[in-house]
Amino acid sequence: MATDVAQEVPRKGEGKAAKRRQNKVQRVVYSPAYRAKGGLFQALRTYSAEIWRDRWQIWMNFLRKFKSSYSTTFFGMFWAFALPLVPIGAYTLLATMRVVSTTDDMSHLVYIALGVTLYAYITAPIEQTMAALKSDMALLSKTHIGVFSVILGRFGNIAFETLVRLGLIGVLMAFFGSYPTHWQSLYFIPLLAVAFMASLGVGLILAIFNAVASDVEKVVSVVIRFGVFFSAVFFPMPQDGLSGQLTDFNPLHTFVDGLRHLLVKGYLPEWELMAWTAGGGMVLFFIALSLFYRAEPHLRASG
Amino acid sequence: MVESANEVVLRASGVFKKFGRNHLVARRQLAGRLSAVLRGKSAEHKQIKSGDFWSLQDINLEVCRGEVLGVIGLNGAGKSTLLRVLHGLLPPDLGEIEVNGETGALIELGAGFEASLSGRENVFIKGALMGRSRREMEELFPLIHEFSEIGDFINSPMSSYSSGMRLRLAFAIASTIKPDLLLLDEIVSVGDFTFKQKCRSRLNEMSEKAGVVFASHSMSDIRSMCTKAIVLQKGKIMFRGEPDLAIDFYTDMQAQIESKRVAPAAQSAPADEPASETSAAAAPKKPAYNPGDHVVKDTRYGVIAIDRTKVLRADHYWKMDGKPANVLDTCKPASFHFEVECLQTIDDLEIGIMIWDEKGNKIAPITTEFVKPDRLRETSGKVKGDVNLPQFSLVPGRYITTIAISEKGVLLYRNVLEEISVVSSARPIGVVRLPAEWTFEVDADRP
Repeated sequence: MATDVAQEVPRKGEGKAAKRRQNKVQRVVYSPAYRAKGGLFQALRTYSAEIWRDRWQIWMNFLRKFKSSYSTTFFGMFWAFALPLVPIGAYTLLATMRVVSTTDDMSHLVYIALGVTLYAYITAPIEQTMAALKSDMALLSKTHIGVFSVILGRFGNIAFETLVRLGLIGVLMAFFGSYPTHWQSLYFIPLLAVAFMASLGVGLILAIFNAVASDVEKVVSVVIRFGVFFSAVFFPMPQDGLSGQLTDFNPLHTFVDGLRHLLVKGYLPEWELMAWTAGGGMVLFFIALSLFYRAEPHLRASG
Repeated sequence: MVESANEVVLRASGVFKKFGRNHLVARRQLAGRLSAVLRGKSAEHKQIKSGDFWSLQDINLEVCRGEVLGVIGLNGAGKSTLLRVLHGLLPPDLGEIEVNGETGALIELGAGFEASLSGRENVFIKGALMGRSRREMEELFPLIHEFSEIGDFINSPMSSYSSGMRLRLAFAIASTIKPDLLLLDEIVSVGDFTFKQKCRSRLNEMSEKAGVVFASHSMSDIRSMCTKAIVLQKGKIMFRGEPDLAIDFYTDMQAQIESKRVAPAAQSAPADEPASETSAAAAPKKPAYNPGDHVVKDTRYGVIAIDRTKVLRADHYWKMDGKPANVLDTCKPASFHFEVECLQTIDDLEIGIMIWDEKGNKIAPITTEFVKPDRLRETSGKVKGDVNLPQFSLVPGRYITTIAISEKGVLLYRNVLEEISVVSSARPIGVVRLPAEWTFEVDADRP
């Protein structure tokens, strides 16, 4: 029997607060089969309710982590804005010195700034999901806090850094004239969400395996560090030969290069490839959500 | 749902929980469970493999609204695991747990608190974790704040709180929210005296409308708060029933374990040491004993011993207003209840009670030595009775009671009871409040 909410019954009032609340009492059955047959809709419903319930805590988590990062520094908030820009600055310098090749499609500064921003944004859910489950396992194993509340609390910093970088990109675009000119650039926003969910799906699946063998996160860390050089972040990948063919199978490349072109130029260089990647990413996300929903009680208990 | 006294809020049927003896085994178990649930199958683990052990075995219990279930057991017996399984934090490997309603839990102090946030913010966060909206928590906040007694600290970060303050706030939240089922681990027993009293009073209020599961090492708490109790040993329920009987069972179980532990030491102890125990009621000297028959353990307040050839079991506790109590009032009557079950006929049985202060000073002996009741001249079977004190007399503080039972001066049984707290409904001065009756004569001849 794997019933989360098998029946809901109204509850006797105990005061103003209880009366105002939707008085419903849950009947929960915990068994070895708890959630084992849970499907996608059950997962979506449970997790969205948890995120709504814990919204205050997610926000507080973000603020806490954000404040604690800079609370003991002399320059305080300066670092919050400076550090996200460091990778962009470093690779821009290399591009300016002609150490890495650039593209004629757009300003190399915009190219690199967007590449770094998108790559960090897309890979963050993969790494942070595993990290959240590991570092906050004590909290997860002792309370019923929503697992996504813990994961999303860690994305606060990522969201802030992305906004700071996008701010810089806005300045660079205005300065170099690489700003969006076509209405189709607006597709950038929903595709950004799709990329995030696809990446989160990968992160959720890997987090399950990482709970059994922590080697997973080490391998992922290596892949992401090296992957940056194979995903058109700083320079375009060759179109010909074996490496050209392999890039089609690198979803990070597809998302980074596609989203960048879409924002700046207003079109996707390979829209079919993007459609397949985005579609596959969403399917993966939904599968991952269902699997994670089933595995979650056991993952939490392993803490 | 219409609340009724016998409505079942918690039902556990055939619950088993398995753990691994080391990290590798735990990973293997996790892999097995994950592989099952990811394929949509139950994660039932029926077999024990190398390195596995059952932390809970065949747990069957029911808690109805209005019941307080005490969980007693030695360290490692599975009490905390049971509470975590009942709270849904650990999925069982076999069996089923059904919870009808909301669960509040105080299993680990501070779990779920954000130390960097203020107590006020944490009240709302904890409330949200229990499904309460911000508006509801705003309504409940004054009650929580008042119960927790942390005053202006409510606006300070929780990192600046003492463990007592955290405990008060955690308990205030969990109990004010009024869950249908409240799971409490030992932590309620670590607060100060006043807080313990508030907790007991709140639990009594709550238990009328909710089911409570309360794990504790404090037998007086189990006796005074629980309506029924279970004794766990190695993850199995060894006894279930009335709290008094459960405590007896647990005490015997402890004694047997202790007996095995100290047997070698007892055999090498001198056999002819004089026994001057009962009249002094509690002298911390090793008594005369028959090696192998006694269980001996040294404490600050003297030995704990039982001659198993003559005494089967003994039970004893303080009472106030006719109920078991570990809080007594200086100005009110109190009584000490005792029961002894003898295996043989005992001649000239003597019962001595000694009250000690916290520093280990003997304060007040109460003994049958001075009264020599006829009933104790030749005793067999079960003897039970009460010592009634018209007024407890000792000033507020904490005291320890010891009881000793002997036959013609030879110690048969001695035990150190749990600490009692004494409060006063009158102004506390001095060491003892002697029962006094005042008489006055008025000289009518003087102008």
